[in-house]
Amino acid sequence: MNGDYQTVLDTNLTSQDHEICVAVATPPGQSGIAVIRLSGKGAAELIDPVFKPVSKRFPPVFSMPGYTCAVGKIISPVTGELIDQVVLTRFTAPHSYTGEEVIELSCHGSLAIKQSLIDLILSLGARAAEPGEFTKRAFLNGKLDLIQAEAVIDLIQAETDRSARNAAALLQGDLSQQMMFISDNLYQLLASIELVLEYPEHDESDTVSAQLAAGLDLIEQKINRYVQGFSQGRILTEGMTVVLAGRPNAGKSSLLNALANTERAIVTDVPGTTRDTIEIKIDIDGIPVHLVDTAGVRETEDTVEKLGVARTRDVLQSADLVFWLIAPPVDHLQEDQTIMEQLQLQSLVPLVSKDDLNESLALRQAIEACWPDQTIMTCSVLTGEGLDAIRKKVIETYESLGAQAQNDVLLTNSRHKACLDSALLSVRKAREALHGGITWDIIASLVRGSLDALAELTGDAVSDTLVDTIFSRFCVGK
Amino acid sequence: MKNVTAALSASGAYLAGEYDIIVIGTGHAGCEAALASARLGRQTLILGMNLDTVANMPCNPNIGGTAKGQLVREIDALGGEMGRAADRAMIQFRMLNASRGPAVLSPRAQIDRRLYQQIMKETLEKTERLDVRQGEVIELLVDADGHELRIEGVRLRTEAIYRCKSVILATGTFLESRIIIGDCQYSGGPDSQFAAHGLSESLRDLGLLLQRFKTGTPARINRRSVDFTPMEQQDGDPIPFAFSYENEENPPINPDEQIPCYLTWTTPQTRAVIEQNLDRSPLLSGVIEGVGPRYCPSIEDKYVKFPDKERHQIFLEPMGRNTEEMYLQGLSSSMPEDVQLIMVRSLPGLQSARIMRSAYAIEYDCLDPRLLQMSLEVRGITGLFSAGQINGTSGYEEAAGQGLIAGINAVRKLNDEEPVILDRSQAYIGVLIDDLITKGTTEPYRMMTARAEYRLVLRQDNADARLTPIGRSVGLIDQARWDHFQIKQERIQTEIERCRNIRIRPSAESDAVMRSLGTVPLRQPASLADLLKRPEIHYEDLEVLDPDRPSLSRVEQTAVEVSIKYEGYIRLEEERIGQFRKLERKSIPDSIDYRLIKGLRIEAQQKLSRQRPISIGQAKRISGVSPADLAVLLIYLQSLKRDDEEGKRG
Repeated sequence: MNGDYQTVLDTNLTSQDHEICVAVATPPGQSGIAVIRLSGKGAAELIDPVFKPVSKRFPPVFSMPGYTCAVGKIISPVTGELIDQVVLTRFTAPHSYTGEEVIELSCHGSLAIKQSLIDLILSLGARAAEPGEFTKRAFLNGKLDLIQAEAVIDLIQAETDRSARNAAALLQGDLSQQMMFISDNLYQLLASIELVLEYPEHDESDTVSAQLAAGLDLIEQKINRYVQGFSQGRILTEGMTVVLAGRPNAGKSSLLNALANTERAIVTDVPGTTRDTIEIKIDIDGIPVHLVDTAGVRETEDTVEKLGVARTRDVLQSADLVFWLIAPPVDHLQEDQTIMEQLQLQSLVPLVSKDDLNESLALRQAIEACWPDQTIMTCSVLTGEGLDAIRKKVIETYESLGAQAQNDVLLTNSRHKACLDSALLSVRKAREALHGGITWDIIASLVRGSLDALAELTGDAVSDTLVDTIFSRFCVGK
Repeated sequence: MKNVTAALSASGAYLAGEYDIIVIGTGHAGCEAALASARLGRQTLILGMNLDTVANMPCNPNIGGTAKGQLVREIDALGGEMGRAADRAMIQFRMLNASRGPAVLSPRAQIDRRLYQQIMKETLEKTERLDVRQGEVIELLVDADGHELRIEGVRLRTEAIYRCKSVILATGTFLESRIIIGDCQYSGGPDSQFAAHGLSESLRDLGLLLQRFKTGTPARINRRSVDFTPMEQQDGDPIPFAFSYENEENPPINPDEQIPCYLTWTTPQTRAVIEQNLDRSPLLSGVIEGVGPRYCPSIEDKYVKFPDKERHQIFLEPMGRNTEEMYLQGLSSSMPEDVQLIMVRSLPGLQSARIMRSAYAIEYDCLDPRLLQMSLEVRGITGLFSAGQINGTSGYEEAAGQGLIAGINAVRKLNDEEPVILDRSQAYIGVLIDDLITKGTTEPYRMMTARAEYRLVLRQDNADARLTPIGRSVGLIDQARWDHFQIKQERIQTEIERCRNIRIRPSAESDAVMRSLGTVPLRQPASLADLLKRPEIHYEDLEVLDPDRPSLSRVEQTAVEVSIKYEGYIRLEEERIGQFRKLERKSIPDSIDYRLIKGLRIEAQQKLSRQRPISIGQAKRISGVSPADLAVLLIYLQSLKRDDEEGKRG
C-alpha cells in the first residue's frame, strides 16, 4: 500500500499543483469541435495576449465575468499567423469544474489545430495536465468528494447506457448520501451503548439492548445489499465475461462473429487474455459484454488434455457465463459430458449450435436425457434463430446477480467494495458478540470499526493512501 | 508587561527567592506538577492562596469513575501521586461497569476529603527541593527581549518577587471567579475562598485569549436530618481494589469499614418547585454568561432540557469519616437559597433535611487550550506551562493528569530533553491533551471513555504495562517499583503462555465443571486459553481442572484472563492503532509556513497556522481541516522532503 502511495505522490510532485495546466478535454482523435481547457490562477492573463476578439465589444479575457464567452482568433505571437477561430468561455474561481479559474477554448477538432493550440499555450508558460489532474484539482478544492471524484472516471469510461446511468448517480452523490445514512444509524446505536457504559449507575441497558439487536440486524441487511450489488456494479465498469466453449468445430467462432454483427460492437478483435482466446466487446441491452472464444482449444486434437491447461481453465472459471456449444452429430456427447462435469462450472449452459442441421433433434433429445434439469438452448448462425435467446440469457444472468431494489445505485469500485466488506464484517461480528453474551465494550469497539470503514469509503477518514492511484486512472483532460 | 528588574524597582518590592520552576495553585494539577518537578531534581516552589485548601475537593467527594478511574491509574503508572493519596483516604470503593467488560471497568472511591488534603499537603511538605508557600500571584514577569517572550518570575500581591525559569499555571477556577446563588452574586472562589484578581489581566497582557466557563456544585446537608428508609443503600464492593499499582495486592482500605451511599429520586414536587421559580434561575434568565457543561447539568437545566423525564436520580455521598456532611450528587443548582431548600425537601427521605452549604454556580476565566503546545507549554511564551481547569477541563483527575505532564515537561524543557507526549492509543491522558489542544473546548471538558478510540487497549488493568516504562525513563519510578513491575509482567506473560499450552481432556470432571458454569461440555481436548475465551468461564473457575497452576495475585489473574479472553478483539484494535500511528508518525516540521501551501482553503490555512499540529494525524483532527486539505498538505510535505533530499544530493 505504502509503495503505491509513494509512487503516486512522486508522479504528482513533478507538477507544482497550482501552476496553470492545459489539456484537450474532449476525446482523442478527429472531431468537429474540440475543447481545450486551462485551469489555474492567471489562466485568463495567460491566454489574453494571443486571443483577439472579433469585436471591440468584448473586454480583455481577464475582465470577462464568469460564465461568459467571446468569439475570437488565436494568433501565433511568433509568426503572426492565425491558428484557429475559437469560442472562449471564462469561469472564475470557485465556480468552475476544478474550483479554480478556468478558460475553455472551443476550437475546430482537427489533430493539427489541437496540437498547435496546445503547443502555443505551453509556450506561454502553462504545463500539460496529467491524467485526471482536473478532477484531482476539483477534489482538492472541495468541489467533489472522493466517491464523486471516482465516479467521474466511471462516467468517462462508461461504454454502455447502464454503466453511464450508474456512474451519473454516483457522481450526483447518491452513494455518498446512502453511506452517510448508514453511518448515522451506526452512530445512534453507538451513542446508546456509550450512554450505558458512561453512566453505569443510571441503568437503561434493557431498552438499549433491544434497540441494539434490531439496529444491527437492519444495518447488516442494508450494507449487505450494497455488497451484493457489487457483482452487477463490477460488470458495469469491467464488463461481463461470456465464454463460448466446446469441442473443435462446435461453431464457436461463427457464433462469436454472428453476435458481433448483430450487437453493437464496442471493440472488435481484442487480443484475448491469453494467446489462446479471441475476445470482442459488445453492448447487450446496456450491459458491456466481453465475448470470449476459447479459440486455441479447437485447434488441438486432444481437447481433454488441452482443457487441463490451467489458463484455459482459468478463463472458464472466471467467466460470468459459459455457453458450451455442442454440434451434431451425437457421437461425441459422452466426451462433452465428461468435460463439463470435470469443470463443475455453475453458470454453464449447454447450447446446441448448428441447429439447422438434420441431426440436431436427436442431439437435443440425447442432451435432455443427460441433463434433465437443464434448459437446453439452441441456435443457428445460418438462420439467425436462437441468437435472441442467447441475448436474453445474458440479460437474465446479469439481473440474477442483483438482489437489491431497482433504484439502488450500484457499487462499481473495488476500493468501495473492500471498505464495505470490512464494515459488514464488523457489524456481523458485533451482532454475533451481542447474541453470544460478549460484553458491550467489545460491541462498541466493533461498531466503531464499522464506522471507520465507512468513513474511509466516503473519504471522511483520510488514510495515507488517500491520494492513491485514484486520480492516476483518469484520462488526460478530465 | 514587566521583567523582574522592572518589578523590583516598584516601592515595597523585594526579591523573595529563586527557583527553577514555580507552580501557581495547590489544587490537583498544581500538586502533581510540583511533586513531579521536585522529584525530577528541580528546585521548585508551589504557591497557593490558602494552604488550608491544598488538594481541596470543592465538588463531589469522590475520585475515579468512568474514564476518570482510568486516568488515576495512568497517573499512578507514570509515577504521580493521586492514586496513592486516594488509596489512603478512601472510605468506600466500587468497581463500576463490572458486567460491561474490561475496557470500561472503572474504579471509583468515595474520599474523606479532609484526610486527602492532609495527606497531600504533608507529601508536598516532605518532598525534597519543594517549598510550599502561601501567596497570591498577580503578575507573570517576562523578558521581552528578542522575538519570543520568556518567563522570568512572578510577582505576588505582597510585592514579593520570585525569579524562576518556568511557571506552571494551575489556578483552577479562581481567575476573576464569581459565585452565583440565585440573585445573590459576588466575587469569590470555590468553598468560600477568595477569587484571584489580577492574574487574568496579566495573561491578557501577554496576548493570551481567555474564555469564561461556568460550573456548579450541589448543596451539602447534615446526615442527621436524613431519613434513609425510603432510599436505596449502596455499599462498597466486598473486596475493594486500589488505585495505585503499589497497593494492588493490599489495598489500604478495610472492606468492613466502608461507608455507604444512598440513592433517592426527584418527585413531581421537585419539578413543580423548579417550574414555579424558573424566572429566578440566573442560568435561564441570562445572568450567567459562562458556558456550563452538558454532561453535568444543574437540576433546573435537566428539567428544562428533558421535560419528558419524570424523575432524576440523586445520590447522597458521605463527605468523610468524621463529618455528618453529605453531598447531593445530581442536584447541582444556582437557584436562590429559599428555592433550594424547598427543592431538597421535595425528595423522599429529605423532608426535614437541613442544608449546611448551599448549592452555587461559579463563573471563571480560563485559557483557550488551543493556545498550548502538546507539551502543555503556552505557544510563544517560553517557560510558561498550564494545567488543569485553567485549560478548560473539569474534574480532579483531568487536572491531576495534566499537572503531572506539565511538571514533567517543564523539567524536560530545562534539561533540553524532548517533551513527553502521549498519543491517543497510549493513554487517556493522551486523549485528553490531544482533544484540548487540537479541538479546543467550548464547555468544561470531562473525560469519558467514549472519547477514546482505542479503549480496549486503554484499560485500567494495564495502565502500568502501557505507561510505567515511560514513567521509569522519565525518572519518576523508583527501583523497587520498577522491579515489582517487571516481575509482575513476567509472571503474567509466563502464565498466558502456560494457559495456551496446557490442555484439558474431556472427562466426567470437566463435564461437571462446564455444566456448572452454564457452558457446553468439551468434545475434544482444549487448551486453558481456549476455555477462557468462552464468555461464561473465568480464570478462577478453572482451578479445579488445573490443580498445578501457579499462585497468582488477583490483579495478575485478571490481566491473564483479559489478555486471553479478548485477544482477538484486541488484535483488531491494534490493527486500527497501526493505521492511526502511520498518520501520527507523518510529522509536520514546526517551521512550516502554511501561507506558502497553495490549494489549502483559507479556513484550513488559518487554523493550521494557529494550532501548528505536530503530525498529519493531529492536523486531521482539527475541525475545519477537510480531507482535501490534508491531501494538499501531504503532497506539500512530500515535496519538501524531496527538495530536501535533492538539496543534499546537489
